[in-house]
Amino acid sequence: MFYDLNVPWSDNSRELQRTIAFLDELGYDTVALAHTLTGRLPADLLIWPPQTPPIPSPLPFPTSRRLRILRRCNISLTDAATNHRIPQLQKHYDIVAARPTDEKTLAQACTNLDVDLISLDLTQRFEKHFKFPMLGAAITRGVKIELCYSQALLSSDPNAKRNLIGNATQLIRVSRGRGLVFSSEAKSVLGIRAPSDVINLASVWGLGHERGKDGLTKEPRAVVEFARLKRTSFKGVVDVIYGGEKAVEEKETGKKATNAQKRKAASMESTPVSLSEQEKPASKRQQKRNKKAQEESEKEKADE
Amino acid sequence: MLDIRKDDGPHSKVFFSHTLLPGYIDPRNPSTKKKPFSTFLAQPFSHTVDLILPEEIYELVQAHLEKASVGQLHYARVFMRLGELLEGDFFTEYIKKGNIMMLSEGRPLADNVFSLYEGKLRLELDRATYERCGLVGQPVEDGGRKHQKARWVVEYDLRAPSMLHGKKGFSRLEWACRNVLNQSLMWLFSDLRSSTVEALRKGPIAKHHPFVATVQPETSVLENVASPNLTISGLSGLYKQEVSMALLEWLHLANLNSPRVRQDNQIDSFLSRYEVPDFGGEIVSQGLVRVRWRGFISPRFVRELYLRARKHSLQVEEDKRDGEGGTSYLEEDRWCAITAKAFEGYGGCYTVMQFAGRDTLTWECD
Repeated sequence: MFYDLNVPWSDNSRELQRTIAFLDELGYDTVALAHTLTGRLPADLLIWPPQTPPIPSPLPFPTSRRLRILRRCNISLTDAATNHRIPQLQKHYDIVAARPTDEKTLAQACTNLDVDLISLDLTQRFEKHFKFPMLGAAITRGVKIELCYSQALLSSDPNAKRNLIGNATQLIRVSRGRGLVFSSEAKSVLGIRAPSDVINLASVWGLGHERGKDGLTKEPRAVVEFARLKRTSFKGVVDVIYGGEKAVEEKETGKKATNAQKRKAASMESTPVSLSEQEKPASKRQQKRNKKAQEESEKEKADE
Repeated sequence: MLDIRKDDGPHSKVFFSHTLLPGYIDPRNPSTKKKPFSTFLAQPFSHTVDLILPEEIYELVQAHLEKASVGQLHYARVFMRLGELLEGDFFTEYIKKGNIMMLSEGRPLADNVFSLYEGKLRLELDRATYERCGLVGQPVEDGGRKHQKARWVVEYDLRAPSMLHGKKGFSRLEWACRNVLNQSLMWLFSDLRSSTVEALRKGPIAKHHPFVATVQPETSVLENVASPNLTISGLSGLYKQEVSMALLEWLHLANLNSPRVRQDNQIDSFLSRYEVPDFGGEIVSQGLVRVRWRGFISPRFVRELYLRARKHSLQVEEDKRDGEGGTSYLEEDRWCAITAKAFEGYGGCYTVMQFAGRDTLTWECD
């Protein structure tokens, strides 16, 4: 299972369709289409109920059935103080990634932010070198570091390649090969490379063959699965797969049903019990009172 | 590029052996432990088999190879689910009573692949599928980090008496096939008991509508090949690594019909410095013939091909026989070679070079 977690979404659907078809042909199994958000979040994400994200579902062109397509959002971190409203982004996108631009935002992303991936723009020159404790903090938390290899391949800037190689070798050395994910950031078909080629490229930059393969299979799988667990289950421990939706048969179980419903947590609904339409089961005293009232009314009827 | 690359790419090995065949080979029951027969059996699924021999030797065996029963290969392609292998007629006729081999689609170290050979069902699964299946398996290396298990192999011997419907172990396998491994996949199927097309068209597999393929051999003539003049007496000079690999390289280049092994090879030495090795003798120009089969090839087919080619084309004359089934003529230089390549993930390739008499050279590459 090979993953390519960063294919930039573009409105030019022909080019994107070609890119995705080529990825399928090269043997990738899961592809994430990425949409970049900078600065303040657009308003339509903040209202309730939320509007659809810019990447439509289903996609406007047909894709291979074997390929699994995810939706991803890159947040560009320019200022350490803004609130990025990540929980709301998590509702819309399968993966949320942070792209820090300087030292402070990198530190914030590594230690605090609840993102799934930290993606660095490796074609820029960073003033300070990477330090292991910061990256190590991210890796222990489960946030992986992403290396995108295709920006420098296609760019016209001569420094881009040089910066990419320098930054990539530094990152691989500092992170000791752990917690790295490889993805293309290919805007066109020409920037995509087959999985073995990416592993060989990583091996040239100093990452062993085995860890290179991990960076394309195991680590991205971890990212995708953890992101999924964050969204669909409670802290990765409890996930309701089948809620027992059989409304008709509960009448037979009578007593058992009322006892079960007496516990508020048993229904596992997200709305609190006070607001739900469920009837609270009558307490024993109330049942006695009802019975008495019923008997008295029957007595009155009999008297009449 | 940068001097920080670690040398930990795959290390492929080639095992070279020079063996003497047993004096008498019973065609119905040849040995299974001696080379080259053990080499044939060690590679169950091959996709290409090439028979390379000098022209004059090919003429002796040509008529026999064109006979349908020998030279033709039959196999089938079906779309099936794994569970369908284990039910009804298919299970009893083919797996319990018969002998088949099957291979599913998928890349060996990336997808979930299944194979069936000699009654042993082998499921190669990734971590998520293995955990959902609930079957017991062994972890296996997949090219990733060494002590983090990511791939498991589950094996079942379907011919064992405990593999019957109703038994617990078998029903666990059935549960997994029903709930987890229930995708319809493309399989390659070959019946090792019978070699006719009707058996494939009418047997229990017919209800899955197989596509039956019949493979005819393709013959191509390679003219003017510069070949080393190897005789049996010179075989002991091949024991050094470079020398045996040079012979293998020449054989494979001839197999590829490469212009570098032609007699009239002229190429700028900047582009290629290959020279045909002479092994201390001389280089003669002869024509070679390559007969190729491409399909789902079983070890039995290769073995039959080998025995027939040897019997018809490499016969030792009466006056040159020594008592043990070999030849006493030390300048014997007639040979034929068989190369078989395996499906990816199920082996590498092997080459067997048989001289007239008892000498056999085998190269097994993994």
